[in-house]
Amino acid sequence: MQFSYQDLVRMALFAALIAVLGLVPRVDLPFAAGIPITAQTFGVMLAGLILGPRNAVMSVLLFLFVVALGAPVLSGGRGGLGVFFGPTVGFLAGWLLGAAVCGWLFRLLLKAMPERVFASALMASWVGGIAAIYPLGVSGLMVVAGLDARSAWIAALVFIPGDLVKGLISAWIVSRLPAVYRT
Amino acid sequence: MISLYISKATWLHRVPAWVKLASLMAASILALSIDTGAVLVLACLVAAALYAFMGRPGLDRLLGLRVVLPIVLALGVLQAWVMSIDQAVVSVARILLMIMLADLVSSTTSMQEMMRVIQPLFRPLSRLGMDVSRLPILVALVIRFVPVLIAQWQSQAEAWRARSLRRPWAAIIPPFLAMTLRRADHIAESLAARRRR
Repeated sequence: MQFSYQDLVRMALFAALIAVLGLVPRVDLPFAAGIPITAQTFGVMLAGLILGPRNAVMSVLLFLFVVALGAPVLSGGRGGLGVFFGPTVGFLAGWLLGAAVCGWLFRLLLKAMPERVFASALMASWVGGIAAIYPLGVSGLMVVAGLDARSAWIAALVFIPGDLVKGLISAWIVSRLPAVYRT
Repeated sequence: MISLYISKATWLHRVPAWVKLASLMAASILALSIDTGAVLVLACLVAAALYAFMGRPGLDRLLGLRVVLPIVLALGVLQAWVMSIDQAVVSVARILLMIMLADLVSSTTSMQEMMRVIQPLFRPLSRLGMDVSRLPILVALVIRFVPVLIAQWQSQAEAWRARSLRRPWAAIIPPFLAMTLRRADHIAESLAARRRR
């Protein structure tokens, strides 16, 4: 299993895309543990759908590596090692899993129903971008912030509507892309 | 790109990066084992003092950390509400302490140095076919792609405005992505042609 130059450059492209999406003005809901709603999970979903599971995980990993090096590329200009000790670290770990699940499920569904690109992409980004990310994110909240499961879930659930919309948009985008750019 | 790094050399800059990272790990384990609010608050003050010793740039960096305050304070309120105020003080102080210490390492270690220390940790990836010696060029690509992507988006938004009275929205994302993917593939071709590793 080798990475071609195309794989590598696309990985870098999506890592940069996730960084750029962090510049999109964010909406903070401070009453809900203030987890910033960022456009960045949107980048994670797109990476999964377009790059496929392996390259998408590598791309998110590369992004996190750049964060660890000290580049302020997370939404709100955050970055550096501090992020990995903050309450949202679980969500960052969730992105890795989410990108993998999203890419894997999209391939699977697309094989089963090749004409239903939108439906497959929507399913994949909802499962990968939400169902895979939240359990890890909430566990992070519980461990780092010492919240109990119930209040951690309540704090996180507020963001699910936004993520449902992000899934819809990514599915629509992928269904409008030329087929060569699909996994 | 602006990094968190403070370029003015201080005593912390002279400490080897691996020592700073190892101390950070030790501190995180220690902080998790302390359950006394007062001790953690004291440790926070010590961490803040470390920033202050670096002078003006250090204090600016410390002030820059206020972006995390809404999240952390909201968590504290939630915790004071469902558990107890003591518990809330402990976890807020613990999170702030770790963020301050970790950021201190980031702001006194250059990207190159950090790369040298972190890179070996990624060595297991070579089992998946990922050549770790390529990481530096990938990081450079990511950082270079950021302004390129922004410029490309702006030019496409401008083209939309020239054609339409409505504001540019999701409609320009698919062509934007197709264009950037094509551009990435061109870069890959030229890298392959030069056999860059």
